[in-house]
Amino acid sequence: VSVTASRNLYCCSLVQSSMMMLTMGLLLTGFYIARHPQLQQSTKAVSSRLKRLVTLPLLCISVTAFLVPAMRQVPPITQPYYPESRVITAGIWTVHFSLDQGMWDSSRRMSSLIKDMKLDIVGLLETDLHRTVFGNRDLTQYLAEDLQMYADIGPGPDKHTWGSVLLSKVSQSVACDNLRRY
Amino acid sequence: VSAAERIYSHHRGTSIKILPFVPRNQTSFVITALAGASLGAFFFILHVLLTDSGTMIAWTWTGYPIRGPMALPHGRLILWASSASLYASLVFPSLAFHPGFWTIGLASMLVLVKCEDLTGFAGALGMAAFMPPLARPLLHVAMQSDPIKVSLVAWLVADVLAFLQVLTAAYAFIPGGMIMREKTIQ
Repeated sequence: VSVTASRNLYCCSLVQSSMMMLTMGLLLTGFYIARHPQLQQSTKAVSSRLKRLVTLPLLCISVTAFLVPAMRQVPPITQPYYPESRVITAGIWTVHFSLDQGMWDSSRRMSSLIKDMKLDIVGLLETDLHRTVFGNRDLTQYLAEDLQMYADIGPGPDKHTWGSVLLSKVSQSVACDNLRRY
Repeated sequence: VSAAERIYSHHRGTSIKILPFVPRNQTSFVITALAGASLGAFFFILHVLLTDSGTMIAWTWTGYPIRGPMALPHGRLILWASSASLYASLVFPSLAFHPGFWTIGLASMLVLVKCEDLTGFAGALGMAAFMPPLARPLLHVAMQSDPIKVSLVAWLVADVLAFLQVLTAAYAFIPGGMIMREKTIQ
């Protein structure tokens, strides 16, 4: 086992980022054969109809992308649920990629459950949905918008974890500053 | 949009000039396999990095205090980069064959994998601009071969890569699983 592990580590230092390298190599292969004169058709000028057909959706996408943040950015709620008692409520939950027993998306019901439980801070585990099998999406975008909380999306998809998220009513940078002050 | 244009022109009574049928050249099995594999890799990378504009931003996230991009205001920059480069590839059809284009693409991939925050986001923008212009040449090459064979190879390669993507997160203890990771664990 140790021999295998050390060999793997050696390969690792030798060929870092090999997943993306493999993909890039395959793409380059396609271009190597695309340079073949018999196959080379794709450098011809593009017809005006094709230009029109591509440019119109591109313009729509660009304009929509410009408008989306204005519609989806919400002010965070910083008032805790029980300010008179001077307590915070906190919870942690392993969400299993926000899929329920029937493999349907459960982020709406997760949001209503967190609201029902009146949690000021909640940590979620197994939240990295940026993979093909989980639908290439971001769980926190919906939850943070619906609950109006700050979200720390944790380690990214290239860090090789199943992901973790911290939703909080107070910005983590403010929390750090307060801790330093006390 | 193409279907909508066709329906609209049918209602107007005007016809669209349809391109003439061109018979395929005979291609060898090797060309079919290579073109299919390349197309599969293209499907995979497009699916992983561009289906959600926040994915590559999540790659570069380092937590609070926020020093890098956020998905909501900055995700649109990813879409703009892709749109701009796709339009550029229509104006300059040989863009995807240019060596400089590939140099920039490979460099941005390395930056995206190695760097965090704003530097990594520059790599993310480079990748978003790099991928869409590849579509036309790769599809042209793939269309020279039998569509069934090319689709078979392409989706097999895309599925194997999607499987390896999960393998890298959970099952690095499997022999060979470790080398597929994007980063070492030191």
